[in-house]
Amino acid sequence: MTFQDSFCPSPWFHMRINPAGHYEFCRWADKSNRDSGPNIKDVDPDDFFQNYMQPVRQQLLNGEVLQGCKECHLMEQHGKISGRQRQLLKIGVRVDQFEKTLVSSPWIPIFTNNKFDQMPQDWQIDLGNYCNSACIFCEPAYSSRLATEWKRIGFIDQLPKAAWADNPVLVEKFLQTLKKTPTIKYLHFIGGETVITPAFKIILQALIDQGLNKTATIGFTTNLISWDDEVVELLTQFQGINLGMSVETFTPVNDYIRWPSDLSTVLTTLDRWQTIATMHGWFMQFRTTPTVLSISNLLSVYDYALSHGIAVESCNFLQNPAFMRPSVLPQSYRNNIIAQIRGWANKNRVEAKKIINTRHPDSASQQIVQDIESYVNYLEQEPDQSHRLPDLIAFLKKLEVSRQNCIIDYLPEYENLFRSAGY
Amino acid sequence: MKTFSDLLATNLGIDIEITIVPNKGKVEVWINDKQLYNFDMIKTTTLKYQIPILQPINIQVYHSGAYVKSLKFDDWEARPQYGEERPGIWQLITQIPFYQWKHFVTGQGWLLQPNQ
Repeated sequence: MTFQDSFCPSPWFHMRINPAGHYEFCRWADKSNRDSGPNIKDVDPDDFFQNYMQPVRQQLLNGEVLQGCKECHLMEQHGKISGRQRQLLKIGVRVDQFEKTLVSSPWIPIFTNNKFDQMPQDWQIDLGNYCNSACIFCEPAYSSRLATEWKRIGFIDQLPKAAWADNPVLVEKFLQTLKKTPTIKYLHFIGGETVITPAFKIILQALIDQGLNKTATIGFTTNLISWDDEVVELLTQFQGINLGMSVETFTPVNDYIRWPSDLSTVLTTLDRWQTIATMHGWFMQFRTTPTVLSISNLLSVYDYALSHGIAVESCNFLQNPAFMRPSVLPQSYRNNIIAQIRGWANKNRVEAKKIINTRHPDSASQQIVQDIESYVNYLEQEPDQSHRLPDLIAFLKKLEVSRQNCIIDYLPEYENLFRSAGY
Repeated sequence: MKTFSDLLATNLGIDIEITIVPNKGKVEVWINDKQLYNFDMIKTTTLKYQIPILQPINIQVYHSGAYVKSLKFDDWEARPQYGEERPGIWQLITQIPFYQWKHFVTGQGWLLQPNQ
C-alpha cells in the first residue's frame, strides 16, 4: 500500500472515548480489543492524545499500514467514502490530488514538528449503554436493554462495566479537557440512546456555559423512538448540529432489527426531528447498519432520504457479529438486490463526480446515490460467507424465544434459505 | 509513490492557464508580481504560467471590454464561477494558498486549523 493510500491525519486532531472510558485513537478504528489500555480513570484525555497516541502518528508518517485501520481500507476497496477520506478532507487533503493538497494543508508544520502540543478538535464520545432499544446487531456495551436480555437468556454472564459517563467525577474530568480547547470543532456523541442519557445533557449544558456552543458543532445519533424537550432546547443553542437518525429500513423489518421499536413510532418521531431540524438548519442523516437481514430492504431508506433531502451514512461495513454481515447472503440471493440497487442508482444518478464531503447539504442526493452504489460493489465482490448462516439462525432462534417474534414473518423470501440453515 | 519526507522535498507548483477573448485595445495581464502580457490583443489568447504551490494567487487583467473565457488551475476550470469583474479590471485573488482557497469555494466543508 502506498503512502497516499495509508496516510491518515486523524490522530493529529481526533480521538475517542469508549463506553467504559478507555481511549481509542479513532472512531473508525478496529474494535476487537476495547477493554484495555488507558482509561479516563487514570489518564487525562489530553495526556493520552499528546503522548500515548504519538506512536500511532509516527507509524502513519512512516507509511505503515495499521491493523486498526482495516475498516477504512475495506470501505475504500468498495468505493465507500471512508473515515480516512473524511478526516483527510478536514485538513484540506483530497485523495484525487493527494500530493498537492497535502503539501498545501495548514497542518504540514504540525506533522513535521517533533513537539506535539495540540488538543483534540474532533471528538467521538461514547456515553455508555443507557438505551431503550435492543437492536439485533448491537452489543451489551451499547444497549442496557440488550444487556439485560442477553444476561437473562444466557448469552452473557455479566453485565458490562459501568459507563464512564455515569460517574460525575469522570464527566467533570472530561469537561476540563473540553474547556481547555477553545478551538474544538466537533463532538460526536453516541449512546446507548443519547437523548435519554443524563451525561449528554450535562455535557451540552457545560459546553454552552463555556460559550463553546458558538463555535462547536454537535453530532449525535438517536434511535427515533426517544424525545426530550430539554435536550432539544439545548441543541438549538449550538451553531451547528449533525442529526443522525438510526433506521435500517422503512419496512416492518425495521421493527424486527431495531426491536422493540415500531415503524409508526419511528415515523412520528422522525417527523418531529425533521420539523426541528428544518427550523434550525440542522444537517440530517439517516444512520444505517446494513446487515444480512436489512440489505434487501435498504433501498427504502435511500428512497425516503432522496425524496426528503436527507443524507445517508453507515460508519462502515459491519464486521461484528460476523454472522450478520451482508456477505452472509449467498450469491444467488444477492443478484436480485444488486439489480434493484443498480436500477435505482442509474435512475437517480445526477453526476459522476465523487463526493468526499458527504455532509454538504447541496450534494445530499448525489451522496445518497454514491453511497448505495458501494453496496453493489460489496455484494458483487465480497466472498460468500453463507457458511455463517447456521450461527445466525442459532442466534435468532434463541433471541426469538425471548422476543416472541419470527424472522420469517418479516422476510418470507428467505424462508427456504433459513430453513436450510436450521431455522 | 513518495514517502512523506519525499513529498516535502518536492518542489510543487500550480499550472495556471488563462484564456482571454479581446474586444479592442490593450490588455494587461498580471499573475502575482509577473506581467504576462501588455499589448493590443487582436485574437483570443491563452497564457500559461506556473507559481509555487503555497503562494497565494492574485490574477489581474486590465482591459477595455475583453473577457476571461477560461481560467484553469492544474486543469481545474474556475470560470465562470470565480473571478470578479469591475470597470476596467477583472481579478481573482485567493489570499491563501490555492488549494486551501479551492477547498472553501468548492464547499468541501471544514478546514481545521492547528491550535495556536
